[in-house]
Amino acid sequence: MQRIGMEPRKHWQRQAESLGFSFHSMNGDTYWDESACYRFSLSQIENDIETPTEEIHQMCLQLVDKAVHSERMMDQLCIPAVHWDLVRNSWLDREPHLYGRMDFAYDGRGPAKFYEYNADTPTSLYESAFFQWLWLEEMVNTGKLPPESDQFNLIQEMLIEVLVLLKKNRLGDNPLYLSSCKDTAEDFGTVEYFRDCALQAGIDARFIYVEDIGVSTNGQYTDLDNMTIPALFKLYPWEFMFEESYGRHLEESGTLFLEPPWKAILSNKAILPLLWQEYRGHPNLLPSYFESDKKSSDLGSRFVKKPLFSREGANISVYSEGQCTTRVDGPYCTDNCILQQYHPVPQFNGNHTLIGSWVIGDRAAGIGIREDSTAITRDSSRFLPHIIEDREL
Amino acid sequence: MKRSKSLRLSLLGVTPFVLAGCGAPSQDALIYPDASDCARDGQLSSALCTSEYKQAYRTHLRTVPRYKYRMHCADDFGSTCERQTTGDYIPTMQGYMLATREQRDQGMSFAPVPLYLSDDGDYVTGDYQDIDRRSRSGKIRVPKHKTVKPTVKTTTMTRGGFGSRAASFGSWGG
Repeated sequence: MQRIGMEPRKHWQRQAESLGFSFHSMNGDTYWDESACYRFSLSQIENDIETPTEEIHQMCLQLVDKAVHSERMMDQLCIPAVHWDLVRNSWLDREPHLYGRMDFAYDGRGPAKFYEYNADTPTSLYESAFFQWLWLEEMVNTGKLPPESDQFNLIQEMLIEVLVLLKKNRLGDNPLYLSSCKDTAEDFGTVEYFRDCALQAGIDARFIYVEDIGVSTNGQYTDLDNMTIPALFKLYPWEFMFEESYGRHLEESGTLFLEPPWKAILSNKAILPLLWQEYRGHPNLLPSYFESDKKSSDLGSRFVKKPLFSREGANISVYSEGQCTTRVDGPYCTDNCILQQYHPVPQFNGNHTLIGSWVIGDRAAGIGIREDSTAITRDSSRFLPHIIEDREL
Repeated sequence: MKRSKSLRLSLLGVTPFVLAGCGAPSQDALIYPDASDCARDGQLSSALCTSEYKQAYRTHLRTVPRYKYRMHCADDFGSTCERQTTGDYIPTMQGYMLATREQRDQGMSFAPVPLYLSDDGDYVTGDYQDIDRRSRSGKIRVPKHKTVKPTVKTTTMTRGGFGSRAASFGSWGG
């Protein structure tokens, strides 16, 4: 694994804008960064990323199956008791899921360490699945990268396949509504990309803002034309929907949700200590504990404190010998936290590098790489493309 | 290969046909600024010139690159940018490219392509593929991939093997 400086394509910004990638820069800073790329060997991708991703995903599914039958675990996951049946039934009914992103710390040697599972509302999908792919195609085509250069990226292709199955098995000719909150260009871009893939899968895919969703007299969710919403893809976290006033209609609505309610278990950092309880010593897991539980010495004297629910690095702090040394402020409640052994992401040329490994259906489908100037990857991070090349440089 | 062989977008834009690259076969095409110029040239009937223009214009409305700022649009398309009621800036359609009579007779025709003017004054497609000088009109020769019809919606794409586990959700959790 190496970081290689590259010449950005002259027209990349124009191309990004003409292809729906409006959030290529944020607040004046570049987000899509093709001034460098990461190079992996095939065995690094297949043995160190792809295989552990599928294995951890299977471990997570086992954990879901255990959690829905355990009130103690549901309680530890901070899922409101009033929604336990919804979560349990969505699992027992085998409601389909589409995608998720696991974050790993990996430097090219040794086992990749699992940080967390963005199993409910992952972003950076478009740039991982499409724009990164397009970058490599053009770099190879213009001779800037050798023709044998490859990339671990079947994300869009596999996403369309799971959407085809969703139509076949669940949707039929019913429309799928796709939804994000107002005033977030990045979320809107991600949802529109999802809608693009759904259209390619032959689905009647319609957009509605989360805020515009209504509820009918008999508790069904409705669109702006008062049509009921048979299926809803929402880029909006379950922990919010549970708490909000419309949350009480979740069960009676009859709406099929994507991601399904059982994903609330996996997008929750309580899975980290629960996985460590079940699979202690697994090479890809870091020792993790509930803050309130008895800790074993394997946690070490340096650890990271994470709220159960947080996104984009918010409210994460680093402790060393009992003192807080780094903290990212944020809006999330910090009453319920987990502690994870301190295992910083590696640095390449002073950049802190995090690997996002995509799970589509139940398969590892590709990766995306983000860099940040600090050890905690935040929403200010940059996205860099990657290549697979086995030839010696 | 660990990556997909080909991908496209149906909604967000027209994917550049990068794979056609160098050495791609070329073919004839006609370019005109508008339907009356097309009719005057006499290679196609006036009715065909008009219907093809209308079709190109519809494609334009659907696939034109949209910019948030006039400056960004002007960087690419010079002074031909206009503001839409949505607040977006788009280049004005400045011409169209269409199939020749021979291609139509042979059933080899392609959907008309809206053309714009680059900041250098060349005819370009919406995804900025250079077509020819603006001063040119009538028959030109272009790489074949530049005349590919921009797609808007497609149906199923499958490839053997993948997704079977997703179909049989029963394999989980046991």
